[in-house]
Amino acid sequence: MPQMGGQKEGALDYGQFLSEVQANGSFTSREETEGAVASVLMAMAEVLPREQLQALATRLPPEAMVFLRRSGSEPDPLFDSHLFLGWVVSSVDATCGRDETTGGLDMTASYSGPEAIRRAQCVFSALKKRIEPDHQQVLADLLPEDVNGWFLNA
Amino acid sequence: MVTRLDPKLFDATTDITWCAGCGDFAILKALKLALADLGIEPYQALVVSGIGCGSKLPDYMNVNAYLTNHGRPLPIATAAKLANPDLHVIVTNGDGDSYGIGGNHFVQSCRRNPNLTHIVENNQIYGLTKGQYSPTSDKGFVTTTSPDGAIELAFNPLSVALGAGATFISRAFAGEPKHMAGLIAQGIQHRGYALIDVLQPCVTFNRTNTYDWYRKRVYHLEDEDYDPSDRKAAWEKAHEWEERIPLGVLYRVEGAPAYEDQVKALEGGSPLSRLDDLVKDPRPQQYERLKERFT
Repeated sequence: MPQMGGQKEGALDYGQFLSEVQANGSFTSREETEGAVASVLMAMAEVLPREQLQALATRLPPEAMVFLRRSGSEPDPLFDSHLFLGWVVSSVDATCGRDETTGGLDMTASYSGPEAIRRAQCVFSALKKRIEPDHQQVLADLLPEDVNGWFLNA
Repeated sequence: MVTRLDPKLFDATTDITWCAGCGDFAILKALKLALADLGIEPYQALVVSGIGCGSKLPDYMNVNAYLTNHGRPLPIATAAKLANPDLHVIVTNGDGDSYGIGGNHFVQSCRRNPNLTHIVENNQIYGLTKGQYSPTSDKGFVTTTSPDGAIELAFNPLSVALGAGATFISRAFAGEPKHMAGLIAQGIQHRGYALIDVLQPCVTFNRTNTYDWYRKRVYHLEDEDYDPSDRKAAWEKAHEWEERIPLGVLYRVEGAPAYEDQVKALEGGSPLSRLDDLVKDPRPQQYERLKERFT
């Protein structure tokens, strides 16, 4: 399996990385941005082989590397886009969102799938700037169906 | 020798209305894989559910399905098993349906030991009705119906099942569907009542017990020197929660007779096996004859 090659940009400062994601997603706070980054990286940690995680970690600021630690030994082969979104949705405050299924604002919580996909793509976009194009494809091939499309199109 | 089937055999065309990221997706996938791995054809299985997000599951599978009233799938599944013991009968319902309104049926099933596989989608909240606390919500859990925190202690299904005499007690995590599929397959193969309590994050209404929350706590019993026939050890494992949460088979005893094995009326064969003449000649008077046979 090919490993990731040299990075496209120099080693990043964590603040710079977060600022990039925050700009991508128009997030209102650093806390919200960090939540999105953590959830997406943790979801990636669930699905990527260990050697790819280690390679990806070298492209990230040290503060973000911690999110790529996986406690299980091997990725679960049934891990799919639904599970991936499960990790990301956890970072979305769904309270008082617009819920199409109930016809308007929902004062308790709302369906957050599209927002979770948008967040994943905001983080993917910042990640891809640190990864060579051929290795972007390597990563995409290892991500679950649908998630690989979100990654490549980010 | 078992011929493995393609899990796609169980795919249905129904639109799935679960929230994106819901742990029920993993349970659906794991159940399909378990059935396929065991070589069970769709016509050989019946999936029974109640009411709730998780109880929509049978509608999303190409399999015999029965969506019953709230909390009632276990007695109906037991009846189906008595009528046709050749069916693999599986119950899928949530923690509210299983341990709340269906709590009595849960206890009776544990002590009755019908040959059923019971998969509980335990997300510690009522999701379909938009976020009320459930029997398994932790004490202090804040929801729309517990704004100051849940007052009651959380229901512990594993210790209740053990106390009530269940012969197969296990716990899975929706974040590990492959591992879950293995437990479901063991549950189906077990002769008697098999509980698979699945820790399943509700990504919309339970913002505490997330995938990350579970990931930091779960561990596999099979990685430890653990004997699932040890009732005392199972009792201790059933009470682990805050810091470490065990996954796997907590308790298992083989050889106990299933409920349907002890029903005298079934000694001459199941009701369905006596229906040959009815199938050939389905006139109303045949039903009268059938009734006479069972009275």
